Formats: sequence, structure tokens, C-alpha cells
Amino acid sequence: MADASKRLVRRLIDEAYNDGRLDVVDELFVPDAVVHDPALQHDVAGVNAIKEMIGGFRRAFPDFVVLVDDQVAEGDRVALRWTARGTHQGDLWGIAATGKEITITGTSLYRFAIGRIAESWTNWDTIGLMQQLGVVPPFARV
Amino acid sequence: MFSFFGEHEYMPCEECGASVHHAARETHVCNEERRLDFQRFRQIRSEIARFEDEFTRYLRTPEGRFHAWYAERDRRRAA
Repeated sequence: MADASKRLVRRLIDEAYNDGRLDVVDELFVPDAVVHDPALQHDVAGVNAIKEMIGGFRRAFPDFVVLVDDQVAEGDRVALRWTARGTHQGDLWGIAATGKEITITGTSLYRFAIGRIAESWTNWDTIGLMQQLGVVPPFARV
Repeated sequence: MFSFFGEHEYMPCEECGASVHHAARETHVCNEERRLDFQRFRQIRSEIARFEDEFTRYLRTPEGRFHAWYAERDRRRAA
């Protein structure tokens, strides 16, 4: 089961995030799946909202690529450590395109139910993204 | 305890926009094609921003407000 779950998460990364094939979300998530991400104002609930979330990132970073650095599975959970890279070519949360290439890292934990992703929790380097886009200044060294 | 903080480990090159790791900053060499693309993109962005500012200012003038009202009236009639 753990290997099957790991394969589904890899498909999410490769097909949805990296290739922009959002229709696979219907196949990989349960219909009422919930994504928790403190960078977003609210939890993202339901496959349509999840497609919109991924689509939003891809509109902002059309060449967005996520590389899986580590993947561990146990029971009904799969954990991922990832690095993402992309060029800011579209509006992101009101920030107009800068043309800058960014590199960010994060970790995600996926919970599976009936063979699909039911819930996920992600923490990623939001402040690093904002620094690279020039939206917030580098922290002063103390 | 905050001495670790500073610039992010990756920052875009100011000239070409490429994501460059801090260890490679001294040795980074811009790809010329990318540098030109990035500079052109920046120029277009600043022109768009300037146009948006000017347009917003125009819409606040009596003439601009009238044209906005007139366009909205046409839109409603067509709907």
C-alpha cells in the first residue's frame, strides 16, 4: 500500500504540478479532499479548488518544476521533501510578474483513504519566495 | 540567535533573473539570451506599470470619469 501511495504522490507532482495536467486531480484525490497550507488564507477543500490552486501556481510560474528530494511512506501517510523552481511570469497573489527565477523548498504530508489522497499538510518557504521576488527585503544580520 | 538570517540562499541575478545559489554568486555568468529576455521583460513591465498609473490618473479626471460612465452605459445597453 505504501508503494502505491508513493506512486500516486509522484503522479501528482509529475503530472499535475510539473505538466499542468489538472484533470489527474480527480483521479488522485477523494472528491472532498482538503489541503492545509498556512501560506493560503483558507484550507483548500474539494478537487475543483485544488485544481484552481495548482493552476494558479502554474499561471504565475508556467515553467514550474517540483523535484522530489525525499519521499517516505508509512501506514496511510506519505511524506515528501521537495524543491521547486520556476520563473515568475504571471500574477501571484496580486504580485505582478517579475520575470525572476525562484527556488523554494518545502515539505508535504499526504494522508490516504480508499486509495486516494484525502488530506495534505504543506509547509514551504513562503518568506524565501517573497525575498526572491523582491517583495520583502532580506533580513538584517544581527 | 538571528545571525543565520540574511539573504535567502537562492536569489535571482539582478541582471538576468536566474536563480543563483549564494555559493555560486561570485562565479555566476549570465546567459546572454536570458539576460536580454529579462531586461526586455523588465522594460515592458515598467511601461505597463507607467501606462496603468497614467490611465488610473486619467480616470479620475472629469473627462475620464465621463468616458468611463459612457462606456459603462454602452456596455449595459449591449447586454
